[in-house]
Amino acid sequence: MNRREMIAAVGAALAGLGLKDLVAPEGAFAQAKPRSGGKFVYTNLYPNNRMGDAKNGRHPYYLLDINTRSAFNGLAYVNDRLQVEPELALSWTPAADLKSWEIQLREGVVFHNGRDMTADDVISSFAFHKARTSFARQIDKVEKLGTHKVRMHLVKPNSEFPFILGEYQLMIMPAAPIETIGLDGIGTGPFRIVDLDPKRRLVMERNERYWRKGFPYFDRFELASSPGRMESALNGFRGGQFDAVLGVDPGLQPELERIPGTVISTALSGDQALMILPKHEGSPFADKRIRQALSLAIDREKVIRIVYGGKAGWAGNNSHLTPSNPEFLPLEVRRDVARAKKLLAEAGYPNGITLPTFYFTASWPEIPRVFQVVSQSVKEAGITLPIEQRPSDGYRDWRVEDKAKTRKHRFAYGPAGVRNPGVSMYRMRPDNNESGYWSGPACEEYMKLYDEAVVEPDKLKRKFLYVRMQQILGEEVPAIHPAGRRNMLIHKKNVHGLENHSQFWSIRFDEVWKG
Amino acid sequence: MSLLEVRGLNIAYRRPDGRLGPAVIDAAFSLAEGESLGIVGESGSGKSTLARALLGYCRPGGVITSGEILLEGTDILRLDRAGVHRLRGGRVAFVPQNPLSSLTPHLRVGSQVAEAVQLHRACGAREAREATLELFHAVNLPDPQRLAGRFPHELSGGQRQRVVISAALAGNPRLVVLDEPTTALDKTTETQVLELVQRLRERFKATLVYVSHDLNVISEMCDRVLVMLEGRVVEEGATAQVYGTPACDYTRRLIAAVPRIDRDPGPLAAPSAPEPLLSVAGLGYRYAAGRRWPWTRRAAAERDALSGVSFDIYPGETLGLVGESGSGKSTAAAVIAGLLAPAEGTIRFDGQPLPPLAAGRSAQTRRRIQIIFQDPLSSLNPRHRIDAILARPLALFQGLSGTPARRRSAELLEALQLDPGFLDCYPRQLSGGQQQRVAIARAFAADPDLIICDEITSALDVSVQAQVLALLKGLQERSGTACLFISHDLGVIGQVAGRVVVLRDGTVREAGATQAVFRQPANEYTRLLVHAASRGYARLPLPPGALAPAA
Amino acid sequence: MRIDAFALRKPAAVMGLLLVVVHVALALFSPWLAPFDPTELVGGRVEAPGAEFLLGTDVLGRDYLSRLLHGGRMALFVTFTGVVAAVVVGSLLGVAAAYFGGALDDVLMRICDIKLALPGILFVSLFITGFGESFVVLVTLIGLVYFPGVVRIVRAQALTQVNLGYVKAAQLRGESAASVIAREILPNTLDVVYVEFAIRMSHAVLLLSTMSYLGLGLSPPTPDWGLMVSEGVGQLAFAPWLVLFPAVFISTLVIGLNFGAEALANALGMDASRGHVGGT
Repeated sequence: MNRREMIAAVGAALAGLGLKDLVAPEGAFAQAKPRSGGKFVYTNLYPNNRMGDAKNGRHPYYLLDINTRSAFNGLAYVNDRLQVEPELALSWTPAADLKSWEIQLREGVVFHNGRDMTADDVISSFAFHKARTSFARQIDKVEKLGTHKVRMHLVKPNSEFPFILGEYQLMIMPAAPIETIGLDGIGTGPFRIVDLDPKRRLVMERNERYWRKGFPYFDRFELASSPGRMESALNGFRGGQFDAVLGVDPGLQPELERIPGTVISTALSGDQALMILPKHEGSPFADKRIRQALSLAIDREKVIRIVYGGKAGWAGNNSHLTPSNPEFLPLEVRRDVARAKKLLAEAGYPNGITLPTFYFTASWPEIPRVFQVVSQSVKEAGITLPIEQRPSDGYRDWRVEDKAKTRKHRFAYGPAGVRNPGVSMYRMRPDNNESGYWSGPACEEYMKLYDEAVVEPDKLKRKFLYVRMQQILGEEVPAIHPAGRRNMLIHKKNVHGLENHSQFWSIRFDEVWKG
Repeated sequence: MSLLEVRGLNIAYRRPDGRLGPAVIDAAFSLAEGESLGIVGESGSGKSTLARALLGYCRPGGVITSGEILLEGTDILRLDRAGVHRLRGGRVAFVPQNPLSSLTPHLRVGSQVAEAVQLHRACGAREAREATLELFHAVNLPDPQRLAGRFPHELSGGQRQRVVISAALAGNPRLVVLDEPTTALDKTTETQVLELVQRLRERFKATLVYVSHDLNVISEMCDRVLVMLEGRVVEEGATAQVYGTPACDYTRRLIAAVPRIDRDPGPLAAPSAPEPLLSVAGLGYRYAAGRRWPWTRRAAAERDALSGVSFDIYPGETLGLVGESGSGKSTAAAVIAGLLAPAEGTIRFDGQPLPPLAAGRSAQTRRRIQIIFQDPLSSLNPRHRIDAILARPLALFQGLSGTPARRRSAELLEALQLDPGFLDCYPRQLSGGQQQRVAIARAFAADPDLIICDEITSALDVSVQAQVLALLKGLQERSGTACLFISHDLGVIGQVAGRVVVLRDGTVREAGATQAVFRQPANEYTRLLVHAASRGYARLPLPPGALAPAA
Repeated sequence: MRIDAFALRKPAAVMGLLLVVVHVALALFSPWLAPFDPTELVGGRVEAPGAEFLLGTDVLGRDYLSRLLHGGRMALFVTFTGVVAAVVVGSLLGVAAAYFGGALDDVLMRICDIKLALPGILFVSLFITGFGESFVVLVTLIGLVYFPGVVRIVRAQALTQVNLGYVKAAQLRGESAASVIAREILPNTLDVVYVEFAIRMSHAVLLLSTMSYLGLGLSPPTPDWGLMVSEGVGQLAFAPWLVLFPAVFISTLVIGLNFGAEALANALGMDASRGHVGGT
């Protein structure tokens, strides 16, 4: 920036403020127009198990930050209300059988290296995704219909396929052999990678040729990774080192509200904690009444009040859906201790029951708190629920371990993320550990409804099907979803346009600016 | 003017309860230039403490409470730290008992001495190296050039002590303090070191303070002598005069207790039967090379500790087994006792072949052969009361327990002139002599036919040694027990053994009646031993009942 | 055993022993001292100290004072049991290694070398990941972590015994190996064993706290100082006492055990820096 530009910029800034704003500066922020330029620094507390090294650290799969949309774009984008928006794709049209989708690509999109984005890049990127990511395996092949038009052929019908195009890993990279694609960190996103300190720091600058004209606002964009290091992140924020902290512990909301000059941004929802109920022979959860009693005995309100400070949590409805999903059906009865006791008595435990030890791991900082409150709250209904924490390393394998193929597994916690119902509802399928290998007529009905939804092009009709499925889960309780978090980030008062997202990897920075 | 003058010196040690216990009381003496002074006394007499104080040094916990130590007119107790530092190794040098502990294990001996030379003579490295070689030459170290490049553990005990002496001489000291410098050495080596010190003294014109428990050594080395008892100097004077006409009763007893080979031992127990009780023929033992696994390196070649050793012991008699360290005498004891299995040869006991290890012998055989070890404290379990220590063999071998066992234990103690009240004591509460008498009582508790005494008096003071030997002899006579008495001290052997076997490097050099062997040694090595043992007798008064001097 | 009472009267020794006594008393009597059940959610989350809750409440609304008072109970029980196991097993193996020597000694020492060469926290996290965090696992782990050190120390002490007269005398009497070890050697390693026990206790308390802090040790909802530090660390800027108090309790226990161990070692005459009584 030379001197003349500098004067012009300052003048513009002053003009933007105006006399009234200088007299009452508070109002100035609310009414100010977005301001271009400046530097934005944030830190991310979310754990990222795939941080790359100097060789692959720029690749979207291994990028230091899981918020890949700073450097890349996907074909579609899923917003916080779980609606699919076009991104690099302008539109998508399914065939009648929902097995192939014609996708019209946006024209005039330029990669950071100056090359135009075309169908070849999409085909090359998805060749890599198909090989490496489960979400992309349903794509049988990608057919080129023109320079900016492709058709994706699926293995089987999927009425909600566009959601897949918005998945965080399925970014579009310049065409290259499968071995090297993406390693240079070149995308179409709002920022261009300048420097990477593997596993620590990522420095980016404005992509001047970004296809969303007028965006982004910042010249420089930096992030420091501090997975799980809440205390140091907060100190950096307080000391002015960071403009924002992503992924703060939602349990700290009451305290964070007391830090002056801090804005808390909460998403509609976020991950929820799932209690997997083994239903093999000899397990108390083979009896539906005990599953129902446990669900009814849990004080979900108390969990939200104590663990999430009242605002940063939500009550689960025993399905994988969250309040972000428009199809979400809240539980009719959240707690009924009297009924829980009655159910236990009917099941042969009039004097209460001691359940097997429930295992969990602290995949989020509040998980131990959630289950301590759960364990305390079910006492009222005469349920003794011993709990034990397990180390996070190797937790999942340990939890689902089924060496003898007897489908005996542990009464344990599992995390559940936010996804479209087509993905989320499928997780309660009978052969999945998360459903506790659920079976029986209700399960069969559930799966029949699911199969209908997959081939149902009409959104409203699908919603009816999903509501019915949630009712089945609420009645049968194959698993218990006590509560979930609402993703939380904090930023300085002068930061604008930073919106939180239930899928924390989908935060976009295009429209963020500093006053 | 005297070189050294000590006035009213008091030294005390802090006891665990925080109070001071006196170690040296009102010591006062003076030493003229070129004189040599001996300080003699038994353990605990304060002789080492006094000697170390001459360097302005006290062991941890020690306090010099009052007094003056004037060296050439300056009181070394008033020196500052730097002054004391200059003093030590400079004007006053010290030679300790254990040379290994005063040499740094990982430095070559040459550089250690050179460092001392450089420090005290303030000269360059090359000069220091030359001076070191000269010193090594002066202390008669063979091939100084090569030896200077060795590490302390690669030298023999005598060589190490010479290195330490050469380091002491590095600063051209006016006064050399030697604290028991030859106690850890064999008699024949001791002779060489003593001769060296004598020569060096003349050559370097140094004044000597020589601390020892050995009256012989003092008589040979020193012009004047101080006798210490319980921290006090009880007698002082010219060596010949003190030894010849001791004024103090304690000195007289001390001199009388010295075991001398020219003293008539009186009647010794004779064999009570013609058939040998124990018959050893062609006995051999090898220390196995340290190799446990096929892939590990052999640490050292096998070494013969004993080879072709033969002797007989008849019932009731005492056979002396004499030799220096490494001669194999303790190995012989361990083999006969059944701790080690012999590599070759036969042992017959009471006409029957003796199984090699104790575990293979019958309980009766185990009862009949008993052993007493050198260190009395470590041969008694510190966790057991004397009662329990004696009860065990009584229970195993005599089937006694309860009151009869305790009565028998008390009898044994009384036989060794110990208070039966000791039964309720722990070994630590007893003195060294008392502990060794308990160990003897334990051996006799089994009512043995043969006891093996392995250097049982070498850890004791001379006066205590005399008492223990007398008691052992009495007990042996009453019980008719045969005895294999092992010692490095010819004087002691002469007191107890009618017949003697001289051992060197694991082989028998000479055997025969003790007096005959000592008076007319046939073997060259035996002659050396006898010479070393009778050194210094010239200044000692003739003992009562002395034998005619050896030829 | 000779106890040097003078060494026990030093200020550090008195302080150490006092701290240990206070902590043990707390562990034993906390159920009667604590005003509330330490796992019951009795108040609001993070209430400030006040009349009802003297030290306020923790992040889940449990009475903080009650949790503090209970906080050493489980840790002390686990470490005590584990260290006793380590010391008993380690002593027996150490004495056996010294007495029998040979292949047994070699194999044992190599096992100890391997264990000692393995970084402690790595071993701990591997073990916990494999076996979980139950009481038995934690006790076994503490035992495994500390027994090689005990084996080494006791073996070294026993090695000084095996060639002493009273051991030889016992062998020559025809005593069995078990009898020689039990009657003659083991009693003479007791001094070392006691001091080992005290030192290992202080190490183990610190280790278990660290493990709990890292989520590898005691499991919620157990009231435990290490866990309390980890639970409170997010609140450090807002309610620092949530971290401060348990940290102070851990430190005083560890300091107490350390001073106590040193005092014991001194009293048993095992510190070379102390002067000894002697004559010439």
